[in-house]
Amino acid sequence: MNIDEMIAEALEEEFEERVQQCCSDASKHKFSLAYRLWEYRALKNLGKNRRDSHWTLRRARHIVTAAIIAASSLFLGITAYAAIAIIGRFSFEEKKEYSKMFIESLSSDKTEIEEYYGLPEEDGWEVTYFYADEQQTLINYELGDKKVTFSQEVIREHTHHINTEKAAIEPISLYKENDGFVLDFGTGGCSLYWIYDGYLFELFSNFNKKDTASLAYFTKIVDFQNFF
Amino acid sequence: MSDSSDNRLIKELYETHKEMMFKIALGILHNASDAEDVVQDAFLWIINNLEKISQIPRNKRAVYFANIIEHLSLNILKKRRVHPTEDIDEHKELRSDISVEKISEDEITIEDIKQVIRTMSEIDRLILRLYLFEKRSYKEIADIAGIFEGNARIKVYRARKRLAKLLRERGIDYEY
Repeated sequence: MNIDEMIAEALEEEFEERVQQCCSDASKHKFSLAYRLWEYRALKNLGKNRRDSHWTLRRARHIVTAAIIAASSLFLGITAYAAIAIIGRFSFEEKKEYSKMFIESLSSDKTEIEEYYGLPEEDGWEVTYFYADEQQTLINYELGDKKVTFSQEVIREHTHHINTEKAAIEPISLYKENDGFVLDFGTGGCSLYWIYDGYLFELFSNFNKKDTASLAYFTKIVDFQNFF
Repeated sequence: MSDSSDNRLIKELYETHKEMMFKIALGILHNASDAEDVVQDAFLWIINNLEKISQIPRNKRAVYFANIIEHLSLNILKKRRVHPTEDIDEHKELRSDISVEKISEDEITIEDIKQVIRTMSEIDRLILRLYLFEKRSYKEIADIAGIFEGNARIKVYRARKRLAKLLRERGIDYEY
């Protein structure tokens, strides 16, 4: 047996040993609430239609995330913008009809868009308008009567103006504490801003903030080749 | 197979292998949330390929599922754009002042090599296993990992380079 063959055999034996070790390891992982929710539904639905078991973990996390945001909002009881000056990296200066928003810059922020994010296509969101350059994107999506404007942009040192005339700013925590905020317009729609992967994102929707926040959580890198 | 026996099999497979699959995924991804995603994806695959799975001997199933988990994990890594070993050793010039006695090829054992392999990252072990044991082409490795073929070549090359270095430190000459 030459050394390459020995290495190949060693690799396979090591892998099998590792698998056996994992099988015999008595320690158990405490699966997340979202996972256990998916597991419950997946195993319960086995009897009906196996292929329906594709109720994804991502949708389970959607429900858990929405519940967390609802609980956070109740806990914080925020009703007035004036009570908030800083949320995570965001800071605000209140004006009469709008607010100025500033974002603390970090060295890890991207200077141009390296990968384009969007809504998960597999959930049925259809792109009805698309614009993208190296600094920002602006995409309109529709799904039934739901409409969303999604934006990704590099974080720049300029002032953002956001409409807070009839909306209170509420902090949210999508991936880490206070990494975003939401403006609930009280008319059924909202605007959500968050920072992730060195970019600033915005979701402007015509539906409630819980669902919008869940949608924000599930945005992902998308191949927009057809649109370039 | 009837539906009820299918369901029993799925539940049995799930209960038996869930923890192992999570641990294998965690070893590669180092992130519990991503590891849970991979376990879920793997089980959805199992549910939809039950006929194929039922033909695998019971004592081979754990390794089979672990293989699926590793392939899915590789794909997740690409999406995360994280490869913990990618740039760690690339520019490191480790010089050892300890002179290592060479082992002749006749004296090398599988166990010697396994000891070296155990010090490598799970990702490197997986890449090498795909290339050297499963004899996958660069294109197949690229498809599994969700990367370009050129990128797969680089990953194989770097993994073999790291292995060669570790083997040399043990006195085993390995040309790659």
